[in-house]
Amino acid sequence: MANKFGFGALQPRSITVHLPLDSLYQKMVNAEPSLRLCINCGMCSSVCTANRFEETQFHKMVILLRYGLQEEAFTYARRCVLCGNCILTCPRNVNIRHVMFLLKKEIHEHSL
Amino acid sequence: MNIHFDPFVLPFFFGVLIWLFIFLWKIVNWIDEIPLSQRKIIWYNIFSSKFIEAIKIIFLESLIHRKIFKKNPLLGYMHMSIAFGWFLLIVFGSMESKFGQHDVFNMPWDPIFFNYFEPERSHHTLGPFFIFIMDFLLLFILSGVFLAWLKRVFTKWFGIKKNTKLFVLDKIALYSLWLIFPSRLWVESLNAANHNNGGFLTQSIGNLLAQVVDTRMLEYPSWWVYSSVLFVFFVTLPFSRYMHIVTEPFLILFRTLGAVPENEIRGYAKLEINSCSRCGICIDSCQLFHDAQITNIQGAYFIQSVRYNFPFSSQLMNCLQCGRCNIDCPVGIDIVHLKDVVRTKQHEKLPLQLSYPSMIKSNSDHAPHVIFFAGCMTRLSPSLVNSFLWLLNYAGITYDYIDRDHAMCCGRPLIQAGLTEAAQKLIAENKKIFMKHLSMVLVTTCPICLQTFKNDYHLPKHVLHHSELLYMLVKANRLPSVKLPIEIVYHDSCELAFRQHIKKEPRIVLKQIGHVVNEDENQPHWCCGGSTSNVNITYEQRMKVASAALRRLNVKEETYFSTSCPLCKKTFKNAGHQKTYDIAELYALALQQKLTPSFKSTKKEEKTWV
Repeated sequence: MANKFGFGALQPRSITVHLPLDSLYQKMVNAEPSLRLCINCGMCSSVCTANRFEETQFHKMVILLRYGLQEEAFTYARRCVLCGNCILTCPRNVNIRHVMFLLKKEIHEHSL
Repeated sequence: MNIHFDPFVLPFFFGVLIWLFIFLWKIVNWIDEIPLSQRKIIWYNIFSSKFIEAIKIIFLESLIHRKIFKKNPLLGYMHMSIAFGWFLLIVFGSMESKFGQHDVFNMPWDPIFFNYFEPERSHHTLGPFFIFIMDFLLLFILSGVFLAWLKRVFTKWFGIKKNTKLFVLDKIALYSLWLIFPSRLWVESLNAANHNNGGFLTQSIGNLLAQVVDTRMLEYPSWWVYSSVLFVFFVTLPFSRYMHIVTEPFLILFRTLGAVPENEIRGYAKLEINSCSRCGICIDSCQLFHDAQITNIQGAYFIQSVRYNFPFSSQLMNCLQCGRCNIDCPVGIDIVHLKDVVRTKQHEKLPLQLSYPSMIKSNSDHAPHVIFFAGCMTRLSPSLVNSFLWLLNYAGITYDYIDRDHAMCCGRPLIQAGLTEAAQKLIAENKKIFMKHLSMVLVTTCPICLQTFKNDYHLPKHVLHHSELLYMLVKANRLPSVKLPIEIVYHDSCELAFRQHIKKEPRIVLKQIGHVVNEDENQPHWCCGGSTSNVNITYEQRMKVASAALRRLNVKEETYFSTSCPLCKKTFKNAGHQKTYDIAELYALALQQKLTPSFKSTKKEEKTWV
């Protein structure tokens, strides 16, 4: 069950009351443990093929996922072309492509 | 004419009936699923020499198991003795019973239980001959069964590292198969002891048994045991891996007569899935098994999961698609294609919303010699692009560097992950850009892009890998040959060697500048582990695969190690201390006289993973 919640300068957000905010992040970490190692340095975004056309920033997406901003995270995941340049440059060896792929699956399965 | 009958034939008879019914029902369905156009070709080819060829291949592969012999003679003998021996046993058994009873249309159980119904075997036509041959064949099969037992314990003697993990039905079928021939030996020996009608094997064992046990009392129950074991085997056969015994000949027949794999799991694909005997040879050839200790994702397990609808997401996605299992599979199942098809079925609808190359403007009214497409991976190693463009300038080739300003994606990684609909969007956009350029030749430095340009784009242009273009330039004397005293190890990348079969050209190019150590292009290729096909693999596993590949290619620190794939180059660079170059880089450096034979690289610290 989703309710409009909160006030302030930010846009109103919908949250799911019975789940922790970072439930999707936890789900991704369970499926791909290396996600935990991300230090949000932004190397991945600097080489991202999709990022040259539209904003696709994995390092930012991890933060969004932690904050429970799933919609924004999904927008990034939809843009990924799975080229794998990010995993070649990642200093922490996060399997970024797997996370993106899982998110794409998540979007498709729940038709979000 | 009197019909031989005893209640103990019933388990065997019903077993065969159940098996026959299920098998015929399945095979008719599969043939029905093959599209009509292909079935027409198959019908047309039945009356050609291809049919004889098919029979020959069926004999060589299904009975003699030639490919397994090539892999390991002991393993080949094991398979051959059981398959070919059993086949001959059925043939000679039928002949003996038909000769013996002077009746061509005898009951189906007559050959199996002939000794029980006709104990006076030696008085029949060719009796002594049949007595000898049946014993000989039984011994032949038993030697195979004995080896099969040994294989469970001493797997390494058979040239394979690990047996396939079997599931319940397979185990039941396996144990009943193991029991069939020993129980036949047992019951025929008892029969020989009672009626003095055995050959060199059964009679001698029978005589021994007669001194120990009461053969008259044991014989009849033993026939029941023999029949029941056969019942268990025949009933589990259509649901276990032993379905391959009867499906494989059909697969070989259809393949030889012109059936081709489709992009659906039906018809031919189902024949392939059921022809898999889970022999474990694909497990043995898998680099992920040997080097990264991933033991549950190999071709046999994948096909098993698809066949029985087990969950298979890890088997599906944790695969390098390097094609080593395809090359080694004794049945010739196209495992890589099957995986591609299933990936597409699972993931084709996954989303991609990218307002893609509207930013790329092509202003080309001149027609240079070639269009150069670097691809996203190549752009990560600028030295490769610079070297290749330097070589093109050196040879006097004019070019359009399409993705100089903006990386484009060829769509291959999406296709490999199964997202074909998303990839088609990119392909359509890319095609527009390519078509704006007038040149007839498209060159790419990335084998991944090359594969998809050739297969999915259907461009009215020649698509070349840069190693092919360099080969042409060398042949046309546009690039000089500079023989330097350097040793080069060349690495065949999966996409180039397995999918495109480009192995000769890079080696000839490299021979112009030095000595190529692994000159033989028929050697198996080793994947670097970085394949874009594998979404699941972790960094550590990738590095394990890469360093094992380096070890197998005998790469030392002082040798020059050359690849023709930017992804392999990147992966290998992290995996060892060797000097890794792309062939274009190496050639350019050689022409610039920058290669030194006694060059020692500064050791980089290995990446560590917390």
